[in-house]
Amino acid sequence: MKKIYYIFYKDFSSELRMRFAINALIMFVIVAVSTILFSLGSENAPQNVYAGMFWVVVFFSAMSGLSRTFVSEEERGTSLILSLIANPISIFLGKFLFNLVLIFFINSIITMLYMFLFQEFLIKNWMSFLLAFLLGNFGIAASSTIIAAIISKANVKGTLYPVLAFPVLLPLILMLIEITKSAMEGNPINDVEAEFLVLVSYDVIMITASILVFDIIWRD
Amino acid sequence: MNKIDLIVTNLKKTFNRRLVFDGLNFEIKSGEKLIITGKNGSGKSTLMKILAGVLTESAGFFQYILNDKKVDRENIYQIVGLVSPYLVLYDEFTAFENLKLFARIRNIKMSDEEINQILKKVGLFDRRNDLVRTYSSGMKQRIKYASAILHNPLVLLLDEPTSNLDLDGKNFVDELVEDFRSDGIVLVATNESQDFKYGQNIINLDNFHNIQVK
Amino acid sequence: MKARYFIGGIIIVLFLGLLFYNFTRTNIEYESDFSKVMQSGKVCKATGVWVKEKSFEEDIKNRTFVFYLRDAKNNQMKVIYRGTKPNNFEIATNVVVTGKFEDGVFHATDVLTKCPSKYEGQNINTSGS
Repeated sequence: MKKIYYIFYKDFSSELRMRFAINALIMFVIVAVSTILFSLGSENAPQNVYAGMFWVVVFFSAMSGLSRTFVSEEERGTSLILSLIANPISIFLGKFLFNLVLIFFINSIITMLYMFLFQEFLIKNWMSFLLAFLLGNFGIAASSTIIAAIISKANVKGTLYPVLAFPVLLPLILMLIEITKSAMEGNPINDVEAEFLVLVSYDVIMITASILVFDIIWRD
Repeated sequence: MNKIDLIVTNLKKTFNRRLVFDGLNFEIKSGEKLIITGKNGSGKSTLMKILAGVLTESAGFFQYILNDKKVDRENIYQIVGLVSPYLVLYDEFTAFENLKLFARIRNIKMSDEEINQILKKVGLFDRRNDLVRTYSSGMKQRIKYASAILHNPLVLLLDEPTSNLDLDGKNFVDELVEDFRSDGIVLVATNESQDFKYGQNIINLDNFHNIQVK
Repeated sequence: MKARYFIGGIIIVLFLGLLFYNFTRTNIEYESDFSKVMQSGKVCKATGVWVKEKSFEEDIKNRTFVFYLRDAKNNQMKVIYRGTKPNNFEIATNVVVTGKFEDGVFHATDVLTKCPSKYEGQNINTSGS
């Protein structure tokens, strides 16, 4: 447990000094949200469009930022020292924890920006939205971490990430959009019970499968 | 006093279809020191990485046996210290921060005083609060030694141990290998004839890589 | 090590089943029997015919549109749609409303009309030529 925390701590203090991911992420969010804002002008789009656009921004910011954890390690050649001081599972969980914190941070910013800038983005059932937010972030962090590990060992790092991430994250994003739509309409939580169960199953499958395959990926 | 054995049987490594070495067999016990030599590209560094548990062999197998118990592949990192030209430390941290982090991630209790002791040993104490980025190649080699001996390993894997080191540094390596714990194992991969003094036996990897040509 | 893969495998298979089962449930189903629509209270696409006799009310200010639908078994239900009256509503042969039944009314989020084709009836005559 402590090992996991200190691997997270290493990445965290490294991020504070080097800003590998956070600058790119914040810039991306600002550009994406303001593009949507300007293109809409004073028109009001239907609510479900906002739900879709919200998760599209989250999805792409996850793609641009969360892969950095492993790729920067591999690019700088520091993955050798990392595998010399910790076992693969701790490494994976430490990196996962870091991505989890990062996605929560970014996603909170995106949510606040949306609520501030778009009046139509009005959540009526907060319970349902927050639960989706939690489960969704967990799923995005888990799948981005393992995908990042896979591509960090590949030769074509740049293009491979979206290619791999899209099919893996698609079911997650679909469910999240459905739940967000329902939360914006103010429907009770058991209306989207099936969607939530899909989210939970997705999260459990992703984290278990990642733990099982990670040491094979990590040790070439 | 621990007892450690390393058994290597029929070890083989290929990168894609290129054979690096095949049919490698040897065995070393506590207190023994072994030199591994061979031409450039004969697989010295590859063998070191495999024995450090960070690279997977293609066929055959190797096993560390600590006090008659097999060491799990996942726990090799706890008993092994590796110095290699491929090793890169986190250059956004200082030498002290690097070592402190490694001790914490390894989950070993170490006071700042103990870390300073190791820094003094490798001759980096005066520069301990400078970022590793600002270090010369010789100093980087020294900090690698510090990270390799931090957890008092039983197995020391030295790949090109004296590269980039000055006379003072070479003396440090001499002492380190000479005074290495008597129950431990030292493997040195080198082509420098002056490094051959570190071990009793020599394995030449050139004999293991042209057995078969695909 | 082996046990880890075994347990992990079981967990993955179990939750994969749960995932696919629930994934199929997330698709909104078509329902032509209003008694089922009224009972389930879930989001569905109800198909029926507009009850012309009861007409419709349109509130342009609040953007609501109220009308009655009936199914094949002559069950009737009131539909409230938050939006404006779709085109061709009067001549529609069939109406599909998406939403759910609550407090004795069907709250629709979407209304689709199926209109008689212009070419209907001509088909038979022109088939020979």
